[in-house]
Parts: sequence; C-alpha cells; structure tokens
Amino acid sequence: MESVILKFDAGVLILEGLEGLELAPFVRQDPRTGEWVAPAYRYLELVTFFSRRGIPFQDCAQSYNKDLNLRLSLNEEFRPYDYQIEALECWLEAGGRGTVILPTGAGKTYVALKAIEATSRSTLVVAPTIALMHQWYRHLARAFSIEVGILGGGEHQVKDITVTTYESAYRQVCKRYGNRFGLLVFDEVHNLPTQQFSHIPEMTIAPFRLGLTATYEREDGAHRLLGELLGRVVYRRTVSGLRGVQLSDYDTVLIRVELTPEERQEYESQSQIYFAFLRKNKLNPYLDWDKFIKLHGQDPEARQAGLARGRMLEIVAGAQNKMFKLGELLRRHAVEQTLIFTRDNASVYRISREFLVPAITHQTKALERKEILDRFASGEYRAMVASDVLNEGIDVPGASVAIIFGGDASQRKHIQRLGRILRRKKGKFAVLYEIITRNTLERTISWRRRQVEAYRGLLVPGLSKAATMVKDDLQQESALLF
Amino acid sequence: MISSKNLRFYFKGREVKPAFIDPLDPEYLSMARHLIALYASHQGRKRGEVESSLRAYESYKTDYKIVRGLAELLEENQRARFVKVSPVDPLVLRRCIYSLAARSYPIVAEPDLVYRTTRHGVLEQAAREFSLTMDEVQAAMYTDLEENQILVEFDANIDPERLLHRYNLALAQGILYYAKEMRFYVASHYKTIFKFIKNRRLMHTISPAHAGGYLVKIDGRYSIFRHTILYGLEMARVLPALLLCPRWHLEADIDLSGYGFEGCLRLNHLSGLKTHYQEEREFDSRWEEGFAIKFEKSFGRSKKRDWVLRREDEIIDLKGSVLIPDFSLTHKDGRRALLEIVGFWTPQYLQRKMEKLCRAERNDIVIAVSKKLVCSVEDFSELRGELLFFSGNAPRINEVLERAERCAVK
Repeated sequence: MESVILKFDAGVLILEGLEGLELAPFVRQDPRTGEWVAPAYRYLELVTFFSRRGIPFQDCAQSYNKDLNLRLSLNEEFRPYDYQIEALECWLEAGGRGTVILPTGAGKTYVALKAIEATSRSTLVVAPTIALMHQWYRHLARAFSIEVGILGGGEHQVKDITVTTYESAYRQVCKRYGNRFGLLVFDEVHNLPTQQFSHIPEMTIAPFRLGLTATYEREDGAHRLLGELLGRVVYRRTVSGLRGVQLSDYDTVLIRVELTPEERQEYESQSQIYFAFLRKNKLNPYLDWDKFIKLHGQDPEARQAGLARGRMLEIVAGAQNKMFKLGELLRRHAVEQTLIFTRDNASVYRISREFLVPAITHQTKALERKEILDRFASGEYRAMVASDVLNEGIDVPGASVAIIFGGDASQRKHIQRLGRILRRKKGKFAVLYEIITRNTLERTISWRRRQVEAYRGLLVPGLSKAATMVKDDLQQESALLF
Repeated sequence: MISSKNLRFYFKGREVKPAFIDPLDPEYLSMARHLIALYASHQGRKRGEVESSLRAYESYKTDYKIVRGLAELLEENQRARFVKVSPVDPLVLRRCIYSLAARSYPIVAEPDLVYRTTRHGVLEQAAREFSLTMDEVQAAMYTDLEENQILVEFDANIDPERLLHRYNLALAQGILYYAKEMRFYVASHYKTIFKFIKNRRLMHTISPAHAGGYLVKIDGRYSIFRHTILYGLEMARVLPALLLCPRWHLEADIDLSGYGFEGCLRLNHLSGLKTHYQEEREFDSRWEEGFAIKFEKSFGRSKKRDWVLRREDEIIDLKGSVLIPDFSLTHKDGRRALLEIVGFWTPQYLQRKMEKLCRAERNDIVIAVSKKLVCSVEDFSELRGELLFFSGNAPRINEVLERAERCAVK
C-alpha cells in the first residue's frame, strides 16, 4: 500500500495519495488546485485518524524540534504554589491542550515554563504587547539558558523557542512558520478570539496548546471559539482564594504643582481656543470625543481646537515644576526602587536626560530592555522611566515607589501601573505618587483614572500616612466635582 | 503605500469609494511641490525636524491626512533615507552613563551635603571615557531614536503630478488591505499580472470571458476555510499590475467591519488611476523577439497571409500555477495553435517548463526547442503537441507553420 503524503503550505495541510481511502470528515478538495486539504490545526486529529486506521503516511508537514531536552532552572528560593502545580497537572492530563485561568499576579508564567519543559517541543509564546513579549524573552532566556528568538518590534529571528506578539504572529507566523512549533502558549488568551488573531491557532499545526488568562470570558461570547482551537478550560482559580497573599500594602499620594507664569500664559491662550470650540458646538470632551475627532477632517476650527488641546497637554507634560518635584521625590526615596511613568515618549527621554536614569519606550530593543530590567531587578539601577510600555504585566518585584509623571484617563492603565509596585515581597510597603499641574486638564484626567475600585476606601485613609511633604487639596477637588 | 490611519474613503450604499484627489488641481500640485521641497531642504537634518516642519505645514488644514499620505509616499522605496549618525554606539554610551549615575544615585542638578554627584559631573566623566565633548555626549546619548535619525539622502526627482497619481493609487490599494477576495477582468499583460499573483503567494481561479480575455478571482491559501482579510495586503500589490492593461475592471469584497461596513470596491480603466509599475520588456527572450520580427517581415503586410500571430493571449490554467505560451497562431479558417519557444535557460528552468508543458496536456501546441540546449527527443517523450528543434536566433517560420497546420484545432 502506497503511503499518504502529508505536506504543509502556508497554514494548510495538503494530502497526497488519498485515492480510494476513507476521508477524515474535515478533509476537503480545494477547487482551485484539486488538492485535498485540511486546516493546519487539524494536524493532530489527522495523524491520529491515519494511525487508528492503520493507514501508512509520510509526514512532510511537521518541521519542529520534538526533543529540545529542556531543563528549567529557577531561583533556588522559588517554591511553586500548590495551585500552580495543580494547573500544570490538569493541563497535561488534558493532553497538553487547554486554558488555565489564574488571577493577575498569581504566577501564570511558571505554569507556562513548566509546560514548555514538559513538552520539550519547539515553542511559540504569543503575548499581547511588545513589552510583555520582551518580558517573556527575559524569563525564557533565564529559565532555559537557551537562545530565544523574537518576532516583532522590528526584530525577526525564529528559534526553537520564540516570543512574538498577536499582531506579528498574525502577520508572519500564520503564513510562514505554521509548522515550525509543537507548542503554542497564548498569554492573555482573551485577546485571541478575534477574526484576525484566531488565524494564529488555526494556521499552525502545534499539537500542544496552552492559553493563560485571568479574564477568560469575553462580552462578545467569542471565547467559545477557544475550545476548538486550544482545548477546554482545564483549570480555574478565582481571585478570592488568593487575596491578601499576593499584594503589598500601599499608599497613594497626589501632588499638585503650579505652572510657571510663562507656561500658564500659553496654556490659557490655547485653553481658550479649545474650550470656546467645545462650548460653541456644545460638545462634551469625554462623551463626544469620537465626534470631535471626526470633525478634524471637516472643520478647520475643530482641527485648530484639537491642536490647541495637544499643545495644552505638551505644556502640562513639560511643566518645569513637575520636573523639580520629581527631583525631590527621587531624593526622598533614594534608597528605594522607583518607577517613573509618563504620558508621552518625549517626557521619558527628557527625564532620562535630566536625571540620567534608564529609559524604556516602544523604541527600546529587546536586548537593552532586558539589560535595564535585569539591572533594575538586581538593584544596580534604582530608578527607571517609561511611558505606557511597562504598564502591563511587567515584573519588577523590587519596585516600591511609582511616580505618575503623566498619564491619560484610562482606569485600566492606572490599575496596571499601580500593580507594578504591588508585587508581593516580604515586608514591602508601596507608595504611588501622582504629580499633576493645578488648574489644568490634568486635574480631570487624573480624577477620572482614579475612579476605580482599588481606590475606594484606600485613597483617603492612605493619604495621611505618607503625605508628610504633600499639601493636598482633595477637598477643593471634591467640591469641584460633586 | 499609505498606512491605514491616513487612508481616506467614503461609503455609498454597498460600495466603498476612495476619496481620490484631482492630480491636476493646482492646490494639490502646489502641496506636492511644497512637500518635495520640504524633504529636499531637510537633508542632513533629524527626522524629528522633518516631522515638525510637516506639522507646521499642516497647520489647521482639515486635509492633513493628504499631507501625511503624500509624505509617506515620498519616503517609500528608499526615496528618503534616514540613518543613525553617531560618533559612538549610543547603546554603549547610555550603559556607561546609567552605570556611572547609578553609582551615586540620585543625580542632582546642584550638589548638596547628602548628594554630591551632579549631572554635569557624570556627563563629564562619560565624555572623558569616550573622548568626546560634553555637547557631543549629550547629543549622542539617543542618536538611535527614530526622531534623531538623519535624513541623509532624498531623491527629489519626482514629478508632482506623478506623486498625486501615486497617491490615488495608494488610496485604492489601501482599501484592498481589507479585501477578502478580488475579482478582475483583463485581456493582456497576463505574464506580468500572474508574476505578481505568484510572488505574493496568492491563488487564482480563472475563467475565459465571452469577448476574449479572462475573469480572474484571487484569494489566499486559507480562504477556502473561511473568508479573511489575511491576504489583503498582497492583493493590494497586484492592483498596479492590472493598470498596465488598456482595459480592465475589478471588484473586491471589502470587510471594513471597524466602520460597520461590508461591501465592495469597484474600479476600472476609467477610474483615472495610473500605475507606477514599469511596463515589462516586451519579450522575455531574444528568441521570441527574433521570431516575432521574422514573422512580421514575412507576413506583416501581406494580404495573403493565412496565419495571424499574437503574443501571450492565452492562459492555460494548471490549477495552482499557469502556463502562458509565448504566441498563438490563428488561421483565417478559425483553427488555432499555440507556440512556446524554449531557448537557453538554466536546467531548473527547463525542468519546470517541461513539467508545466506536460501538465498542460495540450495537443495544439508547438514546442520549439533551441539546439543549444543539449537535449534530445527522448527528453521530451512525455510531451504532447508538436516538437521542433531550431538553431540560430529563432525557429524557422515555415517549420513552425507546418507543425501548426498539423496540430491546430478549432
């Protein structure tokens, strides 16, 4: 009996020599080429199908390394939690497929590293942002003492263990590397079930698949797609079971500074243009934002108002007194590990140049980023400045002070930033500062982002403890708002 | 090409229309001229300066997206070259500065009793280590940032009107980023068009049109499993090739669900688009050219001629690839044969060509093989059609016609 030949091309399995054989239900004929084909993700089923029926086949599709012989080396003090071990066991029992749901900060990375070690297949780790991709790069390089490939953020090396983003995987992996990996790890897997990104698991043959997330269910119900592409939910642990163990105690402090007279003068003139337009057109800057943006392309006045607002934000971001206050805070916390967050990249580099502290933005390449984060973790660097790139999921356990030099109104980002300094460490007490300019847009922006659950009941009592140098006019602000 | 954020289009019923501009509109011509001059005058300056000059030029214009689109096109294909210019590797310099500063953290502007190390002191030390001046150190610290890269070269040799034509085409291409499938009609330039389809790894379905020419549908490998815009970018790259044809029309299924739109894009040779792709050389090889010239000489003006010679006017669909024979010969009685001339090429090329000819399974084809290719009749034993060996520049016309007589069909 001639054997069936299994080939792979750009996300599709091609079967030759099927004549007279029973077909697997998902195999169909491509009318464009006459070939018999199946989507790549059916690889495991197809191979099982042939094996069960005793049909000989020649596998020319699979081109990943099946025995990397990886040995995980972790910090000796590291002791996994029981739930981490349980999660891994459940995943392995499910045939190395499925999603593990653990709350933020519960140590999903460890589960992934153990899964990679257990399967020892060429692995692709897909992360939602470039920053997280770089974080995985650091973790993997350290854990396995192996050269890790990067696909995304301007880098393109594919290796046995490769990290990438959803965006780059969609652009590159689907069409070019779909047969190159035996294990797929999807970090924050709730990002996956979209029209575009679901191509990544569809067009790859990897028999092993691991999804990780704290928030599995999507409002649009699309998470139901994950079952077929990744496997079912194999382990779930909620936040209530873990609370208290994971997070440090913390305080938040709001510092207000004045604009200099020159800054104020320019700010006011721009502010007049902006608010005059809003009033004239009865626009609410928050509720009617999309409408405002749309007007930019039609109404020169709207465009002018938009540019005025941009300039206002620039003035606020560059305010001299903020810089001065930042210097004070760095001195005050000279012995602690401090993270500085800004709204824009220009501020990142201005701060880096002024205080000679390392900067990380989306332009920082993986190697330098790793070096900076490693040195920060070791305590050699005591401060670091970043824009949005460090918000999500980046581990800097040593950091106990965060300074928000600038930000937008997003509550999600704000919580993420706060989360950076709340990683558990024994006896740690964390402080989050916000430096904002008085009587500017920043007041409302800052107020909006602080309207989150984590703050209720925490903001006011916390204030008295650490606010020795801060004269807060919280009351004044409250009066303005209610 | 233009990035999605700078595209301009509008919806009209089930159709999406690119917001084309008039390439002869003096206002846009002057905008194009201004931007070309802007880039030219910024040679030797930082990207950041180019950007702020662009922003200044945009000012309060509501058509700022046009300015940004044109700027993107002026930077495409290495027309504008930005490079990092630095006396030292900024990465190494930064590491040195960060480390020096970390040793006496925090760095202060003015020394006091507790903190004695100033910013100035650290930079001075770094300057000594790299044998640079203080100013050079500060400048070199971030020379690798995009905004600090230098515009070292700009090719200002571009006609403003052509730039505007390129802009319109780029808008249409931009909408194709969101295409799930693209169907078009063409009646010439098959080799060029299919070269692009193949290079972009797209897949075709072909059917002959009633009035000559072909209807071609293109999508990607995975498209049979579900509709997807995964191949939109590739389809966009095929569009300029269609424009080489004097007559064409196109319809693409567009998924702009971000705008709540699903519908189509329709374009044709009357849409006013002009391609920037180069017309290919008319002939692939001198053998073909030689034969066409010979034929023209013998029959070109003759009223008695029985056979009409046409170039590349038929596509043989090999499912997954195509074979486009060099010539067709049509007799006045309606019979027709194809002619493929195989000159001197690499062995791999010859092998691929032979495979294609075999798969074509056509009897009505004359295959003329140069004697310079060291091969014999046996090498072609699996081929159908009429085989002919020739020496010199081109097969002899009489011999070709003799074979054509034998194999031509109605």
